[in-house]
Amino acid sequence: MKNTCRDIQRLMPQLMRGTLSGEQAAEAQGHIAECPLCNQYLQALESDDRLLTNFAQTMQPAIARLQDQVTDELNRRTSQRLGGHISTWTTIFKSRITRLAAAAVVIISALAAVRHFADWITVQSVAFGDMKKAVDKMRFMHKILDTNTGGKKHHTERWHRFESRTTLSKYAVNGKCHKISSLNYDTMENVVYDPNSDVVKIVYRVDVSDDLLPDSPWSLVEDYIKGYERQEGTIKHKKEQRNGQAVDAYYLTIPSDFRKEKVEAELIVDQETHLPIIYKRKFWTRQGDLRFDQLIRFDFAASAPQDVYDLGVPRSTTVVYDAASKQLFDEKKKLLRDKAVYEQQLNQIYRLKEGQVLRHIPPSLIEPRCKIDRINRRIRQIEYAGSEILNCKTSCRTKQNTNDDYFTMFRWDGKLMLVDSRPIFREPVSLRTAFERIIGLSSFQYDIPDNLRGIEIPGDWVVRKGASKQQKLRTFETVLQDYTKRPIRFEKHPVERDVIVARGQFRFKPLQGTYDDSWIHVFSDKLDPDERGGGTSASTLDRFLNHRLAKQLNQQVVNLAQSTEDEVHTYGTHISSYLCNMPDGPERDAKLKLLLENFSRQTSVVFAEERRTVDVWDVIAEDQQK
Amino acid sequence: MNSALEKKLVALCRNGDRPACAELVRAYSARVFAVSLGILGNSHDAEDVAQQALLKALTDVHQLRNGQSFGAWLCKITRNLCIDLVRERRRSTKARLRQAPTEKGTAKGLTELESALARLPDNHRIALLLYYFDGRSTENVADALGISGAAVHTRLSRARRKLRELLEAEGDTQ
Repeated sequence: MKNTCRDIQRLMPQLMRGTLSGEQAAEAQGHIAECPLCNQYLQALESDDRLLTNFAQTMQPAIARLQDQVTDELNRRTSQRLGGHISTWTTIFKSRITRLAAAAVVIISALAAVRHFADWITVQSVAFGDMKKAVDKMRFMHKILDTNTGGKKHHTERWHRFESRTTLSKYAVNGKCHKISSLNYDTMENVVYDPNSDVVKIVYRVDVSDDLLPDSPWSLVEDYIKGYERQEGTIKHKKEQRNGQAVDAYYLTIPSDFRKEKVEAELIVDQETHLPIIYKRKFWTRQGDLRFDQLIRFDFAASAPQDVYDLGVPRSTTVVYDAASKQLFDEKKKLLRDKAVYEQQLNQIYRLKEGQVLRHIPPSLIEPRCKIDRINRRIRQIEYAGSEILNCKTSCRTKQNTNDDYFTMFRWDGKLMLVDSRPIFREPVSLRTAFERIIGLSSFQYDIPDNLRGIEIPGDWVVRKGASKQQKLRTFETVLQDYTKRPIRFEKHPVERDVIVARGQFRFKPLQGTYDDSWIHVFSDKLDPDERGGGTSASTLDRFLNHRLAKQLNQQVVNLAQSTEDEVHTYGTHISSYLCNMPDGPERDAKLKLLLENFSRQTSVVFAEERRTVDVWDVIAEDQQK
Repeated sequence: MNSALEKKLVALCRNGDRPACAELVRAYSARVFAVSLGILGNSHDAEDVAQQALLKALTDVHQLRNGQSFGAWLCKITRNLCIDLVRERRRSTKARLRQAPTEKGTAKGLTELESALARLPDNHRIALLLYYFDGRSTENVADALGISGAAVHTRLSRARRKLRELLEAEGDTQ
């Protein structure tokens, strides 16, 4: 009993912040209601919370004053102090003599770092943290990548310089030099040499993220392994001997599924230094053909080439400076700066208070979001233009929305998350859109009278992640009442409806002759083996029937079939399985029958249409009732 | 502030971009103030040291290592400046918040609170102040102190428990 009280008391700060899951919060509140000790403790905690919040508020003038003083001081300092200091250094750094001198210093310090590093590893008692620090001192990483993609053999050599955040690369295809380049990730200045045109181009990269270079060789090993963890791959670790050297061998696999191909990799790491030695990986196609075979060797030499000329670019080559890319780069930089300011404003305006589950942001307050949208659109245009300049069209080609009147939904999880990368409501939210997109109900779970269907609420929406439909409905009810100034209520009523009931024991029997026999194909006509339309969904039987199929059929599905709860299958929903927009009648009935029979053939689950009592939310306007 | 945004602002700051510097000041002043108040226990000294720390960090921003969090680095600078000041004045460590003159008209309960805060261990007090001054976010506290989220939760919960005991001992929780 004591333990329970202690556990509940530990959860109280989270309960007060409203960050406990619904189940945990209910359990904690239930306990507190019955336990006078915990009740008293919670009240005391709340009282302390108020005291500390008040205390923080009394200090706000001092913080505001501090901000003003520092900003004034920064403004007061003329360019000879702060800006001048930086620009002077920039000028010095940019001079050719300094670059040469700096290169020499870097080589010498790299050698010193290696010596220092060697000293560390010979000491038996070296702590793990110190080892990491020593590894972090490594300045260069030489990566040799040999990749076989079937017809082509690619050979790339890359020198990463961690401190200056630059990469030098030499890339050859089937033994012929294709490109020599250097990229500075701080300035995004890209120097590219193409042997065919025999011109060195200086281009500013606006089409790539500036976070591609690992921070250190240490983080590289971590990043590789984390990558497999993220993709829920298997990671096996063994201590082995390779060529007389003690190594950590990581065997990494990502199994095939509907999205990913099979991936197998092997990462060999020096046991003493924790530096990567070899990273091998292979990708297979869904048909089981080897598509990509890569071997990366790592070398931590004490010196590295300095620039593209050291990699074989003739010194006589003409250098061309691309002013257009510089202009785009500067514009993007300015846009990112502006965006950061608008994001701060957005977070201030859109944040949910503790306990708040849903918020409507009226059009008068959505300006920062609209500005961010406009900036994002322009950045996408800039990135696309940048990729065209480099002739490496990797960026987004999606059609741009030009209409600013779109409305957006965000999720709140202590921070703001955009539900979709684009504004999602093409028009102000109607009751139907709110029920389906914001609350998460299916169209057969609510009933709106015709005279209320025209109600529209323009503006953005913020929904708390994990909030229940019931909680969202209650808040939406209040928002609706405030907005329309009408007494509109939502009420749950039991009604008689035709529902589809699934029974039997789930047993997967693959359908032969499809483009993927490992899927369960959902279709209501003769299956075209070449059809690639429709969507896919990987889930358990219960989730698929209740959420996906019910929506596609616009009809409630009750699942009574037996299946292993955690058995996940991929369901291929073909175009013919979308019956939601078909009017009731013999044609729909025939299609539904065929769809369910096709499903039964592959799963042994049997279906029947039955009349049952189900709950439906009614929208009631009390002023009209009267 | 998310790390990508922080990184971008720091990069802009390195190029002498004033709005970016001002944005960093705006984002981190509460945090710096909380750390200095936690160590010095006096809002006037805290304000002076916080100002010095912010200016020092922005002037020396080129010394920030790649991959290092600006927030954590700034807190380290603040801490060092506070320790320098404490050493310089040879102030008794017991003085702290108990002697702190508060801002205008002390609300009921604040004096007891300050007295209780002053008697908390340093790391507990700093964690609590950071939490309440810097957006009530455990992530911000973790970043500022360079400790894990779990450690922040433990530290905050111990600090709250201890604070409760101290306030109860003062006998004025109502």
